Amino acid sequence: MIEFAEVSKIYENGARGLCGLDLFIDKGEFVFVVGTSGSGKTSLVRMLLKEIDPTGGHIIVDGQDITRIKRRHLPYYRRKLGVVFQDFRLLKNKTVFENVAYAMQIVEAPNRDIRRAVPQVLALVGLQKKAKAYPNQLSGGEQQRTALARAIVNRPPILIADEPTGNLDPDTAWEIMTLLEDINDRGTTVVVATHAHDIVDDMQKRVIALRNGELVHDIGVSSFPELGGIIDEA
Amino acid sequence: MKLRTIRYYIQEAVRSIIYNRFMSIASIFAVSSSIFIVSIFYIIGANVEYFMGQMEAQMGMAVRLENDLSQQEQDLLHSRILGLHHVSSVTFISRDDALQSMANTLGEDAVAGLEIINPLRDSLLVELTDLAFHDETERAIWNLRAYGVAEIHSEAEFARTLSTISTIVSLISLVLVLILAGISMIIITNTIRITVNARKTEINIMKYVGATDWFIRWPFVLEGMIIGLLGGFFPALICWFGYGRIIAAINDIPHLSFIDFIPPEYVMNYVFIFALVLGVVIGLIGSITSVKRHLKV
Repeated sequence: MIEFAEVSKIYENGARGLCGLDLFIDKGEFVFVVGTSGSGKTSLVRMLLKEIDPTGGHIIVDGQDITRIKRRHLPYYRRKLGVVFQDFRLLKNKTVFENVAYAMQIVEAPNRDIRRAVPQVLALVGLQKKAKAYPNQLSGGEQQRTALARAIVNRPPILIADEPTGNLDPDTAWEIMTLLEDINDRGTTVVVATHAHDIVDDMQKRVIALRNGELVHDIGVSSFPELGGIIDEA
Repeated sequence: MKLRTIRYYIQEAVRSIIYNRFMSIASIFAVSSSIFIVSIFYIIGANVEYFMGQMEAQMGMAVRLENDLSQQEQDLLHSRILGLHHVSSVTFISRDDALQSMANTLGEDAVAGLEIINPLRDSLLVELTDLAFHDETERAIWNLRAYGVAEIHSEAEFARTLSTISTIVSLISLVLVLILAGISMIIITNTIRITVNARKTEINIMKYVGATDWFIRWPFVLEGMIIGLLGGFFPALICWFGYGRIIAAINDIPHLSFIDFIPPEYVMNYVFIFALVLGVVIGLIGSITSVKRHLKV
């Protein structure tokens, strides 16, 4: 589903983002990408979103080499991805319903499909009663659930979450992670970049640990004492 | 593009104008102020040109005829001159009418006794479509000497000066309108740019969700065009109502009543459309250039 082949990224200021990274994530997997600041996990996420390009190597997503995608085809690639950010990135002048519907409007979905799918996905994330609320009327957890609903409403094959619990209290963070797990159970490949090792440990999923742009560990199932050490080490 | 998508763009544009109403009002005000100034220069330029045109129309040349021309020869010469390029009209003035006209202008005493042996000639008063062709036409008429042209009387130097002034005024008003329109464009583009900059996060989010550049751009473009249209509408309305009243007020002043202005409906047909089109074009260019820089994500 996602393959990094010898991927490197050197920024213009000389900083190293990734260094010869080889990685394969299979369809339907749930993967944590962990590491401290500067480890390369943000570079990895930004490359998956094609916000930046690698300086070397290839990234294959769903059979497509995204390093060769032309700018005009970029929106169509991004529609294959659901994205959730730490800072939610909701459109503040749109209601919860409209924020979620927006993802369907850009693919020119018929209005009747939008009217059917949005309430369903809002029910899935537990926001059916907040459909008419604006982002500034929501708690952090509710905003992140809205972002999650927007990310999955078009049923993308891949969901990328960049520090999705970074701005949330522990209980709300767990709610979000549970939702991500539910989404994964429905067949979506989920990639979560985080440094919240308590969550990573408890979720018992595959963990990819980066340090200085290099892969230092790739563990199928983690346990807290071991993983805590890896994240701190990374 | 699907109909529901077009409807979506329009809804988004209107909604955005209402949501960002303070910036929208500021933009409309900036557009209005600039277009108002441009429109005033346009009206002044058009009136000066009109005034010159009126003067030009009254300027012509008097073609004096040989004394022994028959009616048939006079008619032939008349049609020959009327057939020349740039001649708008030819009017026959008999020597008796000319003497009467002189008497009216100089007084009966000045022409006393002349009615017995009238020294004046019959003449044809020739008016031109454009004074710039005065010399060329004069030469062409002089070439008709064989048909009974005795002499040509004209104020060639004055005609040339008037023609030059008219051309200069047209050029100055065109250059002023272009400069002012350019300045307006810069001011308005910057105003719209501020509006768009305030929404760069929004554009950024749209890009990540997978919106195409045009899907993002269209609501902004329509918003810019609506702002431009409203910005052009208000000065057009002010000019529409103001112009008629101002020229009426000027003509009420005793010493200025002779000034002949362009009729309000003539100016307004042009100024109204000019202001609206200018507004829309400015809004369009302003929004496209402003959004462009945020689309590279």
